[in-house]
Amino acid sequence: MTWADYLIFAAAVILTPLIGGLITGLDRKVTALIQGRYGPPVLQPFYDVVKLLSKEKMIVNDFQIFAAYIYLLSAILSVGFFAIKADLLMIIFIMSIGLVFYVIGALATRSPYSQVGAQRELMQMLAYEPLLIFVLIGMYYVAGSFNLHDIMSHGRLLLDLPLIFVVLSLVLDIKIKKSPFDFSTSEHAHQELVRGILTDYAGPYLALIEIADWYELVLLLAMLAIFWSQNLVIGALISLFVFFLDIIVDNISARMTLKWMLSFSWIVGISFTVLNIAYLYFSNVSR
Amino acid sequence: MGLKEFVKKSFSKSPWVVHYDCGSCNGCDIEVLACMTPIYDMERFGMVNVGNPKHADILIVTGTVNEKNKDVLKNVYDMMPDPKVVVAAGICACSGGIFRDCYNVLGGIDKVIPVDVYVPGCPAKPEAMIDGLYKAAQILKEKYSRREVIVSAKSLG
Amino acid sequence: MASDLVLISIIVPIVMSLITITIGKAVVRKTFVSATLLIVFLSSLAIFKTANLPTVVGTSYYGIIDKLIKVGDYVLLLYTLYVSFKVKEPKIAIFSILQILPLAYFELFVLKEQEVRAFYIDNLSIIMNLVVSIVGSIIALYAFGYMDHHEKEEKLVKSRQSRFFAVILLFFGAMNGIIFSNNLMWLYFFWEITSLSSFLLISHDKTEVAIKNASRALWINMFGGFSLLVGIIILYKYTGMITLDAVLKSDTSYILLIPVSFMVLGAFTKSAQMPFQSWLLGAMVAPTPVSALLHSSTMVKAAIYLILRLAPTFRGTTLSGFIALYGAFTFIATSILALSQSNGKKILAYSTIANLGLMISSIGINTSSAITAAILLLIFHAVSKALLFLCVGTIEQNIGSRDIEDMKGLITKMPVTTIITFIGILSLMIAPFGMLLSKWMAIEAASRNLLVALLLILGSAITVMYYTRWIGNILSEGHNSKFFVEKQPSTVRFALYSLVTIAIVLSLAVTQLFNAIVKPEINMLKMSISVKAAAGYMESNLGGFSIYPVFFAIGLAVMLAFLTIKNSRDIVETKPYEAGLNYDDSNNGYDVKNYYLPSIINEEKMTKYMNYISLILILAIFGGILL
Repeated sequence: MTWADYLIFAAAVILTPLIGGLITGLDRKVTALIQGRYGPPVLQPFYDVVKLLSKEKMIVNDFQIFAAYIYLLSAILSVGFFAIKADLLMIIFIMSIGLVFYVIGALATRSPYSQVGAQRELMQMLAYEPLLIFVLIGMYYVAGSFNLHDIMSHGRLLLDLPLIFVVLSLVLDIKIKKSPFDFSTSEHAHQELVRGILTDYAGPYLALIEIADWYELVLLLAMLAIFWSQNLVIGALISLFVFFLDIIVDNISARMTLKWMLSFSWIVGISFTVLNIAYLYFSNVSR
Repeated sequence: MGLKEFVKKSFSKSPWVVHYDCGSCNGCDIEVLACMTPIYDMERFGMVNVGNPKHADILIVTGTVNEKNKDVLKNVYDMMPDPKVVVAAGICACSGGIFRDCYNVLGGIDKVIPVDVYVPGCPAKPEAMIDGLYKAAQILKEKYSRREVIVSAKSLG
Repeated sequence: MASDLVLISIIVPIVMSLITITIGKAVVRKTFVSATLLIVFLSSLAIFKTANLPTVVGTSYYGIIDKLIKVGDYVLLLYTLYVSFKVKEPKIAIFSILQILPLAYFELFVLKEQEVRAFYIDNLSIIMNLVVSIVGSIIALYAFGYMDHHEKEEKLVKSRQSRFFAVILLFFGAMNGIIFSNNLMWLYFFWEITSLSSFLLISHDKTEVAIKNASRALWINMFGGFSLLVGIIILYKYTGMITLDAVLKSDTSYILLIPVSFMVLGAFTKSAQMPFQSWLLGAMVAPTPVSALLHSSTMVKAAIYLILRLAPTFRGTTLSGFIALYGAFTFIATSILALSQSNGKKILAYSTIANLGLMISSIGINTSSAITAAILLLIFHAVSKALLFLCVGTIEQNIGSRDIEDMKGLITKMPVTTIITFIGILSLMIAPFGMLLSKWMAIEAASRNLLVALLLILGSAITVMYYTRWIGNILSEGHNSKFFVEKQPSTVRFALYSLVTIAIVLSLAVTQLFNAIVKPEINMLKMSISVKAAAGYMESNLGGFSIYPVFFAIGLAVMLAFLTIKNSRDIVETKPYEAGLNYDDSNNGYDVKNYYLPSIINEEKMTKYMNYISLILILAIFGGILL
């Protein structure tokens, strides 16, 4: 790693939460507009997080603190590695460290809501983590490497990997827990599980998790953007468009069952990946 | 705007609400939910119904306190991290209303927990409730500023 | 020099085991066994330090050992025949007769006597030897404390520990024999000894279930031995080779592939791959040190050792591709089955089979980075899995259950063991620990082979799920719980501490480990080195993994959490949210269980179908010879 790499790493780590917060704010605004409401200001997520950070530190047990910190740090680390164009599979592995701890932190309190939420989050991880790696396998078939640097040198992945792109969009939808996949935290007014996995995280530790979620949101959007790495502005627009579609789907669909999610995501993930790679073979793009 | 100002402002801009039905006739509860609908839209003030005392800043209570649920109310209140504000919505929560002389009713919720804002009405109108919540958000900010002073005084010695 | 050391590491434990069986006094026996373990340990270190690698060395005692082994073969097979009548399991008899007859025919009519160089020593044998002597010794030490407690629970009048430790020592000798033998007939003999000692140890408790499962283990392993023997006989008959070094030097040819696939099939039974998995699951009735030693960290690894050894002979063939697919299938199938289990030891058993499948799959992929991944997996899995088995054994002796649902709140009952279990599980399932690093390497190496890659990825995701919820269970803690101080025998504590230390240190030093012993092995296999490692950074031609930043992040999180807890006075402890009501910890008003997905996974049914699929895959492996 050179000094420039360190600088990029630091810049990404500092800028990402700002971008992530803004996108989340836009999300809430757009959702409100779709529902015919006025909605909160765009800066609302920042108010929320800053407020949470300065609230009383309330915990059920000490392990939660550790879990929240490691969730945040692993998200930061994965975004940083993404910025310096490291190995994508490693980035996914690092991201999953944090998720594992996030779940364990919720399982470690004895609240039934948080435990059920954590079990659901595990099912969600089971649904999207393999898909995320399938996406990388697809990229590998085109670029011949797992290194982001090599993958980005390809330029227009979207044209070769359209179905893989759909798989990644699906991953985004499950990951940010939008309807029909909002199982583990039951966002907004659906409160049958209180706040699911988040129930026993409170105050500053909830804020840490919120920030980590921003990092992961931006990471996934960036992964969508590199499908058009020739011109990253277009890439960013594409990924924002996918995000916008997710918001619309969120507002027009009801929640489905866990079993449906699992079979849907695996069937779509496996079949689309196989089809896309078969297409690569026939069109001789694969290296 | 300095960071401290921003933190203070964020308290007034982001009050998260938990609603506890303490034995109300559901009249006020419907009105609390009405606050979230497009017509009233309390989210424009950043108010979110979180349904979990551990995340909430404002506890909005409807209905009278009785022997059975006073512990639950106390428990929910205790689980909210400081600073926190309590809003009593509807006349029952304010004073016990027409049920105040029932054999099992203790009275308004201020018999059990400290109340900051009283919103009268039977049922309380959504406008009134949002007004109450808005006031509560200002109180929240104030409480935070006061708490800051106390904490810094503590840390000084 | 090297040959004498190897001889010591084989002969001494076997001789000592014969002496141990006569010792009745606990103190004398313990000193005796520990002395033997020390010798095994020191000899392995000495071999590691002094041997010039790779080397094939002869020994001056070749003649007598060869005679002993020849006699030993028949003694052993006749003994299994006797066992078969004793436990009334005709399958054992069938397979022992199936071995006696070809063996006699082979040795009398086919095999021409000639002295070959006895021991094949290279980095792979060194790695295996170190694993056996270090991890194995630690487990054996653990057994001191464990068996005392175990016999107290069983209320035995007369201690049967001398038999137990005698078999354990015999097993050590046999393992070292497998690892170093150059003569395939020797390898076969030691292979059969490990099967027999596995039988003796599983049936140690003499309960009905134990004997039934032990005899199942024996006949399945005898089948494996039969397959190995057939492989060796075919090999000798058609190529005239009886030694490993000759096999490895020869070029790949179809004639070679037939015996090799028989030997690989033998290895599949030993590592309990898919249609044969039932013996390893049944073996979980054995005392836990046995599960740790034989059924997770060493004996089943002998199979991996054999396949790794033979890997150069089938590199680049269709056979190899099918082996990769077969391993990957076992990996995902057993992972799915593990998902439906709540019995801790059974989860570990399934996960052991799964990881062995992963290793076999990596060997089947057979590129330089895949072989590296397989060797690294072998090392890390041995350490972590042994640790976890020992943890479960300790927990079981304390709370009387091995069900993970019963382990809720374990952190308050046995904090130290829980933390160690926690680290042990982490070392199996999250980056940057060695297991995940190797898995990363395996997945990247497999990506050329789409089907294998997909299976490996899905399997890994499932692995994360069943381990995460286990951790969640043991760490779950109520409000203001009191922490008890644990009491354990010193050997148990020593074993747990040392294994967890090894697990962490090895993961931290994975690059050094790679450069020191894995890289020379890859070199020796004459493969291009595609993996480079330096200063916490593993790099292959497909990507790179930085280890230190991740460890740093975890360390930072620990430190931040620690500082927060230590320094701030304004932390408020509260109760878990239970809708305003709060039940006491003692009297749970609700019961949240993990999701075991019973509506999707039915163990019995699924096992049946998966066995069929794996049988088809094995047939495909044999068919792969023709392609």
